[in-house]
Amino acid sequence: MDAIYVKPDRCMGCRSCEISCAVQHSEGKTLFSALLESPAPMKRLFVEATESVKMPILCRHCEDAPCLNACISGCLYKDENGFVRRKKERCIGCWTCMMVCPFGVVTRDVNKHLAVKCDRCHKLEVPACVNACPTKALVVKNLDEIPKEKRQNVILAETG
Amino acid sequence: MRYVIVGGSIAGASATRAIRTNDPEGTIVMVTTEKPFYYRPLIPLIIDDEITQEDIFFPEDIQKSHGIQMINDRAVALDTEKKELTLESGNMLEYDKLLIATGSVPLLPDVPGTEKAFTLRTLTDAHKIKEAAAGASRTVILGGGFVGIKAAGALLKLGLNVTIIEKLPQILFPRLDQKSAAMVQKKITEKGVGVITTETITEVLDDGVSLTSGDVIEADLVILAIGVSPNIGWLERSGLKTEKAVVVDEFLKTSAEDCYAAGDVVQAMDLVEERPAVSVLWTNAVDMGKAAGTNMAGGKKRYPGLLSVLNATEIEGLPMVSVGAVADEGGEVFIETGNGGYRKLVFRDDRLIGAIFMGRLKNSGIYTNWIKNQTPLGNLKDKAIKGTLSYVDFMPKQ
Repeated sequence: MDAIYVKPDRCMGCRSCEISCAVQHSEGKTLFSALLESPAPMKRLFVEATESVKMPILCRHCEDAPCLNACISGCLYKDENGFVRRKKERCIGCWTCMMVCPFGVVTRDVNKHLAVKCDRCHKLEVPACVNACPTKALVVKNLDEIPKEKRQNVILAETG
Repeated sequence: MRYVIVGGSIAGASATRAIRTNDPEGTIVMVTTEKPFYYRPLIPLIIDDEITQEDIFFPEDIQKSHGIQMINDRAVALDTEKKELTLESGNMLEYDKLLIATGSVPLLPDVPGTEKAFTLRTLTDAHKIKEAAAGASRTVILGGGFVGIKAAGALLKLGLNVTIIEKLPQILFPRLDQKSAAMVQKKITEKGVGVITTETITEVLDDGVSLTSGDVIEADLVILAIGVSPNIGWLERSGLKTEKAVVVDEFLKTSAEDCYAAGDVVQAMDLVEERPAVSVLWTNAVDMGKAAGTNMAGGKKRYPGLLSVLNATEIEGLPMVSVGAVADEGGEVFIETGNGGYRKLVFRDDRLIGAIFMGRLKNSGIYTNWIKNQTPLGNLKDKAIKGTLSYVDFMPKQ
């Protein structure tokens, strides 16, 4: 399965991903129209920082997803690509998904009274956040490729 | 392999999914008295049509997709030697692996007249209340728990005059502490719900209830919502080990071979209270069903335990999450109030054992996970108290 992979060592904390996420989930889908929308469109990922690490925190679309398991209204489901998505009309705003997400990436749309989470930009070839990242700190990768690449890097470092 | 599941709610459904993941071939038979499968926590919303009749049922037909043979009947006895169930119809049902998932039944107060009152546990109950509400103007709800409060909200929307009577000095104990419960009480009182605490009924009358004070409150609709108890009456002669509920090991196996149990009918270890507890919560039942189903189908999945308090909801515009030992006033407690919100963290030594979030819920899941796993907090305790904790704090240093 393809996943959005974060490389914290490349993240500058510029929040371009946050902006493009909010724009992608706005009515007009452009930065200028999004700025004028009221209520403002919501982002689905969050750039957070400690003294030593900066990175966007985003939905993992967990294989055994706590949010989906705990949903008491049949709103959350796994689509054919393995993305954990939402049937908006089923959300009752009980916030159980927020209570159980260990990453803290489900949020509350106060105006629409809906739980909001990453939909993996399922209509786009490349998710908006990945597309916007100027340093390629966010990439779409096949999960099987990640350990392979790490092994290669270790070997390269060892052998020069 | 022939799997028999007694009970058609979430523990059974969750177990079915786990069985099918591990055993695509085996026969799954489910015995239930209810129309499967619906979201039980949503039944109060049926009363005032906040959700449609259709939306209360699972969106996916798991009976079909998981190949479940449904038997509309009630199990009345269990013989674990012969591995056989007796049903109310007189039919017998043999099993290779059994799951007891019969949930819980409403508790009734020990006073005369309870047969005149309603309870709110099943979809049928909700429909009955909805029907009765159509011709009613005053309702009394006994019990200030979430079920009572949700029912109150629905009936208020239908234009009824609503009074909640709670035995304890606070509503929502032990799911909220005194201060946060008072905030909820203020919200619902402002909406028009009458709340009487430290009071209970002595009788359900034809036209209301009488209280211990001697007062009578008139009502055309009385709802009893003082809690539930495990539905284990039918297991009395089975020889199965029960205490408060069915006793299980950490793999959710009962005292009998090939016999498992999950959901409200089980007592399991409370992860923070460190004593056996009965869950009564959907979220716990999902996890238990999954573990039990996996183990029935030959897998090995340990069930670490439950959290007696694991609640999220919104009442009259006030969103809240409450997890763990939140009513515990003994431990080290941090409280923050302001902006109409409330945040409480309860610590025991270097661990978080309880948390309440009201108003702002962002990142509450991180705290839930902490409480569940009982991870030592180390230098993150300060951040937790300041409320600046995020998942990045768990990342290794670059």
